[in-house]
Amino acid sequence: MTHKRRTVIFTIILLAVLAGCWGSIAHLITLTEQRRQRPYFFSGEIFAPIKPAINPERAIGYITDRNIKDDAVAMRFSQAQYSLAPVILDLNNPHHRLLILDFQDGNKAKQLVVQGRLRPLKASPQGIILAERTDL
Amino acid sequence: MIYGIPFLISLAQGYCLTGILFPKNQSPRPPLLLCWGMLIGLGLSAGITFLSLLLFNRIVPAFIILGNLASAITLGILARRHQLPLPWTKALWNRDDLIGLGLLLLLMIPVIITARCYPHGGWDAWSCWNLKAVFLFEAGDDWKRMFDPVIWRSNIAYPFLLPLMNVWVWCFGTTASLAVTMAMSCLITFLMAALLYFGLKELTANRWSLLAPAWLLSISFLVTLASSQYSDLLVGTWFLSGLIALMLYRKTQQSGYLVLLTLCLGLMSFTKSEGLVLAFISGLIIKISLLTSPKLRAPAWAAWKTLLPVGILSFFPAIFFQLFWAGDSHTFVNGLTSTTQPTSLERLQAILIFLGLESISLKWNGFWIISLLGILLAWGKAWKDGLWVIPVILLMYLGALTAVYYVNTFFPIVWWLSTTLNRLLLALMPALAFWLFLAHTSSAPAKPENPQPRSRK
Repeated sequence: MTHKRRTVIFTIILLAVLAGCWGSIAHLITLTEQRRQRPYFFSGEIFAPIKPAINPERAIGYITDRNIKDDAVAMRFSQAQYSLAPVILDLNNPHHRLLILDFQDGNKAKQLVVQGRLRPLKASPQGIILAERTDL
Repeated sequence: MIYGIPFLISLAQGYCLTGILFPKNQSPRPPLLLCWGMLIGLGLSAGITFLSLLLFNRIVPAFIILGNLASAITLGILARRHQLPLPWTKALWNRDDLIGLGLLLLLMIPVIITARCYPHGGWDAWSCWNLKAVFLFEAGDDWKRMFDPVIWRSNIAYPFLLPLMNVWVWCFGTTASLAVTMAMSCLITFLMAALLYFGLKELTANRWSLLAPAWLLSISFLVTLASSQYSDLLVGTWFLSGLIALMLYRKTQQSGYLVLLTLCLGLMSFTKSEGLVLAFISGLIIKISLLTSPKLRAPAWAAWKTLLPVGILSFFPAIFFQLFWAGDSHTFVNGLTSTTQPTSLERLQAILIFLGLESISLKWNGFWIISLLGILLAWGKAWKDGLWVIPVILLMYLGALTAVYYVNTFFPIVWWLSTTLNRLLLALMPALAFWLFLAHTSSAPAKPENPQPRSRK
């Protein structure tokens, strides 16, 4: 009886393994095809060129007009933090000497630079600006 | 290529350490000893990296590398005196071992491909685990800024064994290489699968054992999570290897297995906060099981003298971290006392419904339903010979998780469950598969004998 039960459950598991392997192969084919069409992109990489300029700082401000509650924005911020670590990114805190301006609306960023008396140090093609406060 | 060296050093010291815990010619067979050796060795190397933080308040690669080399040489000398066989001694491997190993390597292909498709891993890899590793590796003596409340989104209250394991390997280079974190996640997945196979094989000598890791590795959702560079599968692997040690202790009464069990629980407690809870529950239930067993009470009691220092040493990083370093959790609101975010009966209902829905979700390829069926079919045997320990620990741990989800009202419950529960369940899958297979195969012949060395002729 025990032997029979064991055979039943192991046969079910064996079928699950075969089905799972089939599913895994299908998943891998889809995944590799996706990668071929749309290469892997890590949004933290667009912040990486800034890293040498901020390295001595302990923390810098990360100012954005995007909604951080949006998952895509939270991911962008989180990946930026990873790429720029060990420098800490202080979200929407303008009181640091160096600020990263990551704005959807480029005009708003320019306005902030002028009004906030900021001196741009670096700008990336993706619109990210590293600026220094001049009033400190 | 240079990064292969630290893995080999860890393997060497782990293999020797694990081997000398047992009397001559009574250690587990080399395949199992190698798996344990790799896992314990990585834990030991991470421990030496932790020591660098304690002594110098920074990562000092020279100290870490020399410390590991010194440890490997010392353990190697002790192992030589102990006449521990070399793992590649051909006569110690049988055909089943090689077939099993080959099949496991084949089943690892999806894990490796998936890991390569996501070199930065999943969300928590870059926002928590690998971020901690970068802070440790690049921030010098200001590494504690990783506990800064400003980055509260990065789980600053979590311990960091996996980051230390990655940092140990990074010490052989100059950059925080992603290839290392990817390789580490693949290695941990492989060790989980290999431990499951060789552990079951050691206990039951049953060929069906190979089905257990094959079952887990055929679940593509598990493959995705395993290649995400999270700590959850590492928690699951420590837990599994602790259970294997416990069951082998019950079988042989060799105190070496209790030492291994203690090491695994201690290292698990420093892997993740949930690992600490699981280690505490496991320690408590296992102690009760041993001390209430008429057959095991005396030998287990006699081993406490050895186990006490091992326990203190292996739990030291977790305790020290919790007492002195851990950042305050900014993601906790006590719903029982809070007036603004009180907990409710609806929250509890949502948790239980979500647990039910998760267990029947198609993404798990029916794992939880088949497991339940398997346990029901094995019913009487699933509780015999000390096996009751596994479900009791699992149920208590699930109870503790439910309590945390219920009491902490910081996050909206559905969002929190949908982003975290699957990973917590992942950590329990190896142990559940181990329990199921052991329950169905434990009537098989007892411990396999070591194959006799072949004649040199």
